[in-house]
Amino acid sequence: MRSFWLIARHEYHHTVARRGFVIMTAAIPLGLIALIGLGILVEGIGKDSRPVGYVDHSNTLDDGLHTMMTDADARIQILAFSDEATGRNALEAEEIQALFVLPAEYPQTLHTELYYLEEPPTGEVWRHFDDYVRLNLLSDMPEEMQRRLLEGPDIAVRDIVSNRVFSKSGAVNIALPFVASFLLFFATMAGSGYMLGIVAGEKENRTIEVMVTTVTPGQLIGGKTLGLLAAALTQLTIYFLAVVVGLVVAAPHVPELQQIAVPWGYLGVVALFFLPTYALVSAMMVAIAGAVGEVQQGQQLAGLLYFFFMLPMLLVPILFKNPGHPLMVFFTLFPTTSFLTISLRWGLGTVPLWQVGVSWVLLVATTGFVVWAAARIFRAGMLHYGQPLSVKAALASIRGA
Amino acid sequence: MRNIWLVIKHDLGVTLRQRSFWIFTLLVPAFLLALNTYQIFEEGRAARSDSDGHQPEAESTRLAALPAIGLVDEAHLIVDLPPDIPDDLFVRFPDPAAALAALEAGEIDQYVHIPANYLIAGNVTVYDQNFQILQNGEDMGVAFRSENEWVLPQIIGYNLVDDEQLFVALQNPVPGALAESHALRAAPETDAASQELAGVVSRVMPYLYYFLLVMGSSYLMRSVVAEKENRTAEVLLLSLNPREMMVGKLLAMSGLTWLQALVWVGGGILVLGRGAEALNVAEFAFPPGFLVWAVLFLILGYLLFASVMAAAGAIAPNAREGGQVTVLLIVPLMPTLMFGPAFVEDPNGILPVVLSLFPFSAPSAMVTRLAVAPVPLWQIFLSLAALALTAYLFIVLAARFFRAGNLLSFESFNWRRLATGWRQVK
Repeated sequence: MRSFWLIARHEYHHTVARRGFVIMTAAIPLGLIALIGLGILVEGIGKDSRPVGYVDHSNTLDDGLHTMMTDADARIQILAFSDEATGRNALEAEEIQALFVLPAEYPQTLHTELYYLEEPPTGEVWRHFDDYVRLNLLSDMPEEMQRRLLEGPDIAVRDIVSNRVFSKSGAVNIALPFVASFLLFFATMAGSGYMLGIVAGEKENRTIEVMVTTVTPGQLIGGKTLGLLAAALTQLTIYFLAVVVGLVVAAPHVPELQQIAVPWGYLGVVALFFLPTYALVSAMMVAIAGAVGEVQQGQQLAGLLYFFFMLPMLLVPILFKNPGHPLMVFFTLFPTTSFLTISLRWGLGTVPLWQVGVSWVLLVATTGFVVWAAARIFRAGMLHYGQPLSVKAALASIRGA
Repeated sequence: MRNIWLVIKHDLGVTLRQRSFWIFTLLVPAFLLALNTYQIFEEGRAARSDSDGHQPEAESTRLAALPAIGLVDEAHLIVDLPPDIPDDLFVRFPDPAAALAALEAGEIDQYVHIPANYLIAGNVTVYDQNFQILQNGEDMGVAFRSENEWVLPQIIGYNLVDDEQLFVALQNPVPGALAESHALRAAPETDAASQELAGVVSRVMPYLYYFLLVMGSSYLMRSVVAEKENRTAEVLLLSLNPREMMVGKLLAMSGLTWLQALVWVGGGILVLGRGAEALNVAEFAFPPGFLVWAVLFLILGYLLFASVMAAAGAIAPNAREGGQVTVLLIVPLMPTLMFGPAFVEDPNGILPVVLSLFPFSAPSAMVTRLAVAPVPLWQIFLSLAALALTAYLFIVLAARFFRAGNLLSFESFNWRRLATGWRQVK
């Protein structure tokens, strides 16, 4: 047992001290921040923030009301013009981006005129002008009624099976499982990659033959798996803390982030699925490392294997269209893709309980089998003294032949 | 010259025999192509079903098929329904418990609960079973993001406002369909379907260049490192000089990149053809001269990326450590991958222009821009010149790294060696 802990401790310290590990751990949160920043920049650059003008022949609009709108500072500025000629001059001088003209019969008729240079105003700009007109139309009503009619109902959906609440204002709760899925997937794949490199590398340079003179193969692989799992969890904790710190810092400035609720259900699913998935992918890597003669051969096989784990990511467009698509249900149940698929589906709705249950049972059963088979392949690979194990020989070693 | 040819032949043979090369060359793109074809087909279907085009406001208030929906109205708000909504839309329940029982029994698919304090709080809850958000909003009842998400606000608004004319105006005060538009300047003509295909091109092109540049140059690095690891380099350097080895490998891997390009571009053309068919428009036509520019940017981009990877391979003791350099090359390509649609929306915006002039992102960004919109000639030449100059400088640097001292060294990879390794004299 002492050897087991010794190997786990050594593997943990060796992994977290590697420059590559430190760089990747820091690079992911920093990269995400950079991408979000770039996204905001792109969004900001493309925006036309020039005011919108209007000419009101119906005397419906009171330009003093614009300042009374909620979040008036964040909205596009709306300017009144006394006549169309002045408004069009401002438009041609590119002082405004569009000019609405309300006829004298407004609102008996909703026909209006719209002037712009080349492109009509965007939907967002149009909405801002609509809100302004609405405020004017409701100006005689009691304040409470006015507010309710302007803001409209805040509609939330409560699922009676999972007891989860989905709402437009809580969209961040929909997005979070996506971010978490990518981080979890990345940490799992990185950890298993280290596993493959270490085991195949030590097999290639024969260190492993020296080690098995003092420890059993079970202690060796178990210790390495535990050490690398601890390293992966360290990485995930850092990611998690980075996200929490980011949310705490940003929440006061972004109202949407204030709607975040701790996703206990999601955390429960992660707790249930992460360890068996990590064990499954690690066992597969041990099997590959045990079967191949060189690290490079192992990396080629692992590249193919990763494909079976990352399939749900390539199918994200289908997931968005319909999270309950038969293909998605298949990937929910298939052991290599179950964790990632459930994690991705979580944000978009309720994953039926039976699917979660069946998927977990299949995952655990497959993991148990693969761990057992990997130990046999690894043992058979050790006896081959640097020679790669053929598929036939690997299958024979599983059968115990 | 004979030595270079031998290196080319050997490296081509070794890589072409690798199963992973063929998997990445054929299977992965085939899968991505199948996925894109499916997406294009779905988008085409959606485009056809919405052939009237986009209206700036929510004017498409056409009631889509709705399941049986319950209503618990504790605010006593819903008295009448607007004329365009059927009177039997809701099954009324006296309290939430009765509605919940009906939902659990499958008599209704959803129920809406309007609490007594609605006017103060404004909250409305829709209760559902196994709720899922679908992109097209179908089968979601009256929930938010459903195709009928306008129904509840309209019904509630209708009952709060007495005046029918005011209610109609409040729903959509400045309807796009009733606005007489006057463009003071003629806008460039755009065809919605062509724009759709341009969108597909802007998504596919960055991936194509990403795979070609990063994978092609990675093969080069792996080839150099593998020969270091298995000590073949020691034997090779007895009969050929490092420069010949580098040139041979560079040419061999560029041959493989061209092979991959042919397979993927063929697939890409197939996808675009299918996309045009699905959208029922003429096939997507690249601008004249596009192919020439695309080939030039691919050649220079490959030389730049390959020279960086060759240098990394020369000083890294193994593929895992050398792979750290890949991050340097991936990062500049990421913004084009992430913001491909921005290239269609505003091809001459700041981001596309900056990315298409920066040498490490130019091959992917400029070709994507060229595929979807006209680009000023001076920008193409400037970008090409900067890329050619940078590629030349990096080839010269890589040649300095490609020395027997580095190729035979197993010293651990570090960034300081990468930054200073070229300074060492022969």
